[in-house]
Amino acid sequence: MRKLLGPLTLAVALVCLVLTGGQAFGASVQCGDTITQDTTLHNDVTGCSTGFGLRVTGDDVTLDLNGHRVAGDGVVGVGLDHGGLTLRNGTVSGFQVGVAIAKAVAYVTRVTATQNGIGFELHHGNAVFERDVATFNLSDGFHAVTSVGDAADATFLRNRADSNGALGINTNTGTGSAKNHAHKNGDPRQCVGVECKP
Amino acid sequence: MITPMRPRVVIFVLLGMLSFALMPGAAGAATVHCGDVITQDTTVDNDLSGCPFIGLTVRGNVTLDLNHHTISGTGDWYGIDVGSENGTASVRDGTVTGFHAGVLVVGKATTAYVTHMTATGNHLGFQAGRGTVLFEQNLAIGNLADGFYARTSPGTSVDATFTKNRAYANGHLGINTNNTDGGKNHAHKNGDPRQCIGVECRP
Repeated sequence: MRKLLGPLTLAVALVCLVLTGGQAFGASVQCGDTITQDTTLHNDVTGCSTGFGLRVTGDDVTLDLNGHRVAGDGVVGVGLDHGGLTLRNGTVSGFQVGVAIAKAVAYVTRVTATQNGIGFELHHGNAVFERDVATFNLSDGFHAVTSVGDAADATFLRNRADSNGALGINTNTGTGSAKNHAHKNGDPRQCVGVECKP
Repeated sequence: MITPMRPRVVIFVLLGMLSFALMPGAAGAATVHCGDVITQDTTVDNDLSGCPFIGLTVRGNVTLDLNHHTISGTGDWYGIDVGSENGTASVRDGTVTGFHAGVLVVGKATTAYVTHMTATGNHLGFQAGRGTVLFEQNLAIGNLADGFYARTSPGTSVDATFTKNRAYANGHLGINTNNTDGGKNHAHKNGDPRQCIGVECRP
């Protein structure tokens, strides 16, 4: 019997390794964590009072919020920072900036940003925002405004921006954008730089 | 003739001095690191360079005295994040460069005082996101967008006062606000010919 235990243990370990290889890492994530591999949330992340709620960085990394929320009153809810990054399926609320992107090629989809200062903000890099919702943020719902010396390119597809304090979408870099909707935002123009329907 | 103190008196004096030195809230000179959270009065002993995320975070009724040192970043995030739920968070006497926003005031209940700071080479020099803040005798120079930015939107609680600040050669406006003009602000050679919105600025 003892002779069998060694190989059996090894086989079980190998099967476990095969089953986990390449799959999303599921974990209990906490405020301030840095995500460097594909991760699916299994909990809300709340009470984040300083710095970043979560920071995502790396090549080809996806953070799937899995319907959960990241909440707090810190600076950035989810920071997408350097690399090729995807953020999807959840809610970010209460921060100075809900979702912020710096020097990344980012895809943000099916994320709701609510009750932040700014919902979504592109600092530098390339971002596609698709089917996201920005609502009840204090300033702009989506903000991607570049200055001389910055390099940013944002594409907005099928997003909704309602009841934000300033503009629904505010950009001077929106290329290939389409089918966005905005209404009841504080600035009567609703969107600048992309066409928005009510 | 000098009369020597009695030993018991000497002990009391020494104990008093020790108590003062250990008193909470007493300023402590400190070596700081990128990402540190400052929760007690601190006088900085060193420059910080290449901060990848947030340079320093200030929280609470405390003063951060940069002591003429420089906090520099990699251009992406925030230099000094200032917030306080009780009392006043103060930041003074230093330079912030190479961030998305050099000094950012956040937090719904924040009261902040920012003075004798220089913000240069950031996207935004100084930004008030929420709370009540007095910007006094600061300099914003050579930032890519606005030197100072504090705008209230419906629902926000930004209450910024600008007094005796200078904003030169920034990409957009020197001061961009719809809050309070404390007087004696100066701006020139900023990208937007209006120089300042919401406060009077002289060259």
